[in-house]
Amino acid sequence: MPGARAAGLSHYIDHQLSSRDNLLILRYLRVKPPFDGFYSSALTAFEQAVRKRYNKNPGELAQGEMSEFITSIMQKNPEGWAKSGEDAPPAPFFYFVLRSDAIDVTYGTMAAFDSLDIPYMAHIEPDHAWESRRE
Amino acid sequence: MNKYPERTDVVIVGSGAAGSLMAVKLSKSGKKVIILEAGPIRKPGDLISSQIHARRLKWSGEPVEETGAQPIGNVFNSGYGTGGSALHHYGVWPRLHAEDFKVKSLYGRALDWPITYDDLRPSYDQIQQEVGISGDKAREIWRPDGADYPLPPVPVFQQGEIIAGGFKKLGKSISPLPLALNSRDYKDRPACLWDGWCDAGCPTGALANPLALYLPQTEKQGGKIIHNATVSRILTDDGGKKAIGVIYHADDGTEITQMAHMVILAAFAVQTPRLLLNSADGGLANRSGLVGANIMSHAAATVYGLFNEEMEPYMGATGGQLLNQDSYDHKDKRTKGFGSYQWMIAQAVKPNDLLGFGGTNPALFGPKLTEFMQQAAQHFGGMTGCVEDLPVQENRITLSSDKDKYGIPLPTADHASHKDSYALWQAAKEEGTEIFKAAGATHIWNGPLGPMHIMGGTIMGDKAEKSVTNSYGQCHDIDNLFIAGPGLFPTCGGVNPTFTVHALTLRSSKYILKNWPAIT
Repeated sequence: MPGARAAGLSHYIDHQLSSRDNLLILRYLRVKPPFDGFYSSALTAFEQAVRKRYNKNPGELAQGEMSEFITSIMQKNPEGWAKSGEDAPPAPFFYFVLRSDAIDVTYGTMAAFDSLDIPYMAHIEPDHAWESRRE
Repeated sequence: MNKYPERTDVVIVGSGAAGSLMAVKLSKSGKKVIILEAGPIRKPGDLISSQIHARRLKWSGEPVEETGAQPIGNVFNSGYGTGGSALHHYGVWPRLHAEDFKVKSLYGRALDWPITYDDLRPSYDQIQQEVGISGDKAREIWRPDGADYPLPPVPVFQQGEIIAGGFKKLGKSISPLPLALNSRDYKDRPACLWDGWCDAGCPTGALANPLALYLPQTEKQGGKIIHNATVSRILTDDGGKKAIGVIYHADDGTEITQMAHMVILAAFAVQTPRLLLNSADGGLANRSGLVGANIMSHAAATVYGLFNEEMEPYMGATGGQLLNQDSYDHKDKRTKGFGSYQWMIAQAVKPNDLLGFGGTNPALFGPKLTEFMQQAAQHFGGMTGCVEDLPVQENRITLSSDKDKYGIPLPTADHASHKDSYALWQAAKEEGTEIFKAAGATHIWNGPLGPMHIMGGTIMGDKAEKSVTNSYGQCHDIDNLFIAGPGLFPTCGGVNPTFTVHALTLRSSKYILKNWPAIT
């Protein structure tokens, strides 16, 4: 999701995971809290599957390689994913969750609505605490 | 530490649509009412306009294990805190149709209700006058008879106009969507601003939720609501024939025994059967063996499109602007499957969250997703089919071997759509796609089957061996134990349940008051 890093995706997830009142979309998706293990196991699986396929760390992938890899995890676990640990969620599910988190943080704020030319029309304006920590 | 407060007339478990309405009617007649709400207190000032903050209103009590091919979506569909799920409901209030009450008699399948539409019609009429529904009875050609809506219909914005064109081209009918939202000021509550924040809870009072309506009235009449109160057990007398109160746990762990002349369970379709199952070996009020059985959830048939026109998809109500029920009556006349469905047309949509347009097409990522978000913000259109889910006895709430922090078994909800309901969902998607083509959509796609509403689990009926309660929600086995809410539905039709929940609850409250000495 272009813009998600700048919008503070990692801060958003960290902030929510450390909050008593966690508001991640994962709440809706039949995953038992706490959710820390979901993200850490999936990121480990992601990294290992990338290494298996490209012999690189995820951060070293060219844009084309990253797109190819993301496309490959939409439907099934890529090679190397299963060996990363039995607790890792299925790759397509992790893709859906992280994509949703990215949309939340990139497009779920008043400033983002404005960038899309959508009138926010708040009754009560939100205070998104993670925004102050974004990069 | 145990506490034993003074005995009360009525203890109600749950502060949602059914619990709040029951409380106001009974307290108005002088009964001492206590509502026990598992979740925290919510005030209008807590209802922040954000799809992220909105998640706070959904179920966040102890987890519900969901199994089966089409899980019920407990967290999204349930509520937690003052007002329960009605606090974040969208206010779409159509009536069930006459044939919904007689599916078994008419078609030899599913179940009959122990009442007819005519039995419930006066309650529908009274509730809509109290609450204020915006609609147009004459244009809603499918609607069963009853009083005119007290408020004029909701406005139609660009998205509604354009999608309506598709229906008209194919010779289909449309009408304003009946909404429990004020199209103009009504009884000290303001008109809606059509900003689409219904899912986050409406703090203005324009949408008829328990905070805007029945809970303040209950408190004014002396009723009391206790929050963070998790009920673990219904208590009965030695013979097990009379309810005498409940045990609940306060937030600090204190166990409190609240004695009462009457117990009313309005804790929604998952927690109410859980409570009954946990209250006696084999389940309380469970002579039929049906406590927990026949859980239903409407299948959402979503149709999405991009249009060349400016759609203003952010304007209106989250529930939609227009209605079509051409595929409702004559449940056996569908192209596929069996049952009824309706279209809720042109729903106000935000960029993010489960129902946001950003989530509708998960295959898009990277620059293509950015391009889509920018285009969809102005050119997106959508509608949702509310597809009937036939009751299946094996779809049920049971107790898990896992327990919550109070040692109470967690519920497991197992649900798989009846094959004819699944086929009907497919038929709806196909019809919706043709409608969007006719409306001029340049790209059309569908979402997966989404669970919408939760019903059944403590169904009503004439016979004690085939149902849990009678038509008033009174348990067959225990006269002073009542159930209120969508859990009573033997079948669910293809309409949103909240109006029917109100009508049934009103009818039950009158029965309780009329028969109070005999019942208690």
